[in-house]
Amino acid sequence: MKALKRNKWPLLFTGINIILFITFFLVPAILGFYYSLTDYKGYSTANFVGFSNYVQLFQDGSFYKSLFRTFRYTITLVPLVYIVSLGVALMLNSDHTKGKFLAKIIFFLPWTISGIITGVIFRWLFGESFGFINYVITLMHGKAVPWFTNSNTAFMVIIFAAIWAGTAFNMLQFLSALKNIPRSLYEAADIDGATAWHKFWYITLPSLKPTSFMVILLATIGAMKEFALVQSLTNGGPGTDNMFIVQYIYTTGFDKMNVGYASAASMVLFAILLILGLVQMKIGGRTNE
Amino acid sequence: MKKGFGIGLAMALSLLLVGCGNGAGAKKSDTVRLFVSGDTSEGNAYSKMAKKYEKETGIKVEVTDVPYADLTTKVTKAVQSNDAPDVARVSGVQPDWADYLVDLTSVAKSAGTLDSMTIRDKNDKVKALPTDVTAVGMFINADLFKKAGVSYPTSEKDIWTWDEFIEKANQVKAKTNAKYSMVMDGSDHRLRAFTYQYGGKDFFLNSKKTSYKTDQATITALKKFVELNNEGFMPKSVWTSNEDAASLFKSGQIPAYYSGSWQIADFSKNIDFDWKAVYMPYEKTRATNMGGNFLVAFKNSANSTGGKKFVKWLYKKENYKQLCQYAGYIPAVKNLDIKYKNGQAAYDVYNQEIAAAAEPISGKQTTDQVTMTMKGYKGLTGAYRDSMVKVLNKEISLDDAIKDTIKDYNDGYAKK
Repeated sequence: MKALKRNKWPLLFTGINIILFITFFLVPAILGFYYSLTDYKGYSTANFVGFSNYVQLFQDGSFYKSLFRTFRYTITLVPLVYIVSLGVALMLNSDHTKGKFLAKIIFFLPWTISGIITGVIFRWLFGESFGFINYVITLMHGKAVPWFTNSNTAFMVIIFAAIWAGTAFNMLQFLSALKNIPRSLYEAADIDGATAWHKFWYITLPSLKPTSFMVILLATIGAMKEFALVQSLTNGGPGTDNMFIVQYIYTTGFDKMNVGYASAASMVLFAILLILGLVQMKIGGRTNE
Repeated sequence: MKKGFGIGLAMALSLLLVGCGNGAGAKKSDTVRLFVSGDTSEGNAYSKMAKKYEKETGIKVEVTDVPYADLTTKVTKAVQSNDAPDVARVSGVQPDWADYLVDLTSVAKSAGTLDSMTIRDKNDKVKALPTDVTAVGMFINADLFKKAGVSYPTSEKDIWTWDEFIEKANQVKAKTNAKYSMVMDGSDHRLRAFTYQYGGKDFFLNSKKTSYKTDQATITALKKFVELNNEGFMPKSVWTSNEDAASLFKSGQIPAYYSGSWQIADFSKNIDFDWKAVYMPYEKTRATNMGGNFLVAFKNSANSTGGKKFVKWLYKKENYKQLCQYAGYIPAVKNLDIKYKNGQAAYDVYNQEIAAAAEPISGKQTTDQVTMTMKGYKGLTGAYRDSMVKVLNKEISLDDAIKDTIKDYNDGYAKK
């Protein structure tokens, strides 16, 4: 009671957040775990089946397939997003760049668009029969590319769209971090005769470590949970070649009405994300000290 | 301060709890409650009919428009808490409702609803009436056909076979520089109509009623479907990567579109070339695949008798005809001639297709789905489409796809 009295103001100010967290995160998470132990179909009663959903899941080829595809996507996307957004941020921060204000707006625009719309835009651009890109290719006497019926080109389009959509946010993180690097460090380096590359490698990059850590962590989690973009871009296609784990959970749960089974799959995803987060925090934490 | 904090917390908590209540159950009422979901024209149609009913009988019909995605959940919750609507227009029947559905056999009989679309329980009692029918059909870009100088059937006498159609569509493609010869929606509903037209029965219970199987004609049709995709007769991307078939056709660069009656309203407004609904080709059987929505009435509602009376009134010839005109429905009742605002010629073709379509196969998919889930079976999960997509993407063989589909049927319809 005493503790409550002492902490009542902090509690009051965080109260709404705590309630929201409990209602929209904790309760659904517990409910999800409970459903993963049942054969719930989305209607009627849920019968307790113990861990049989998990046993079945670990023997399910299509689950592993979508999980590994998600890993492949994450491993490809995260470094690319990192490099592109850092590159853009460096250019926007450079003293030699002209039209920074306009450029910032243009680079930031994609962030204001939802994943579904991004998907639709890229669908139009890369449409196989009537898309803009293929139109340009045929104008230049090239052969139309099967952007969506070949799994590798479809994967490339997804990666490209995801970079386009994800650069803005990360670029902003880098921009504000770049502003915080003391100019005196660069001036000292100039006096010592350092090249631009040396300055980047020995001053800029080490100073960006905390930001880099956060960008990579958030991008990884975001990539592992990718859904809206792929759903509207290729629907996981061609076939199931680009079906990622969240889409697998969605189709199992809502199209096939295996809510219990889908809940088990999302619990596994939760565990993977938790481990990833902990590992990255451990690494990031150490380098920050 | 302490008090203020307590009040704040209590308010926040009570806010969370609002909306969880209402378990009081149905109170008797004279008003008829009707749940519908649909686009504006459909919603308006039911409201207009409700007004007419009130004018004629003095009984008010309260129409509640429920978003399509929420309708099933909403009705289920209402049924569970004994607060069901008197009447509801739904796309399927959930097992939880089955015990509470009013017997509508007499209405079905007097109205003459289409047998292949009327839902019966195991005692042969009608539990859901079809409100409207949709059917698979073929649209063509008549401008492209004209430009190529290729003819198409204009009466039921000269309907083409699939081979003839394929040849003609290819001619149009070659002469007009069209991108593809045809496009088919990426849906197993459309594919089923195709297999029926090849004389197949698609997937059906074996004679011992223990497991599902398919027949040679269906396999032939499926092979043909894969071949047409691989040859580039139709764009593979529609099936394998969800490219929008309707917009491909609307682009004006594809001669034919295998879709269905629900497109008529949209095409009437949004296409500026000369499009037409034409008779579908067939190899052995003239068939389509019907879909639709259903009207159900509940026993555990506030005014169940009033609800049934309203349904009976709605299915009287002149009233039902009016409903179809307002909503642009293809009637689910036999021998009804309806004048539509737009697309009359297309509707006429569809009506003839439905009248000529082989029964019961042409309504089987939809009625099976409704009847089986009503009985408490899990229902299909869409493995048919998914596995055909994998065949087109060369992930599995057609044999495996058939095995997967049969497994889905057995899991969904043969065991509970």
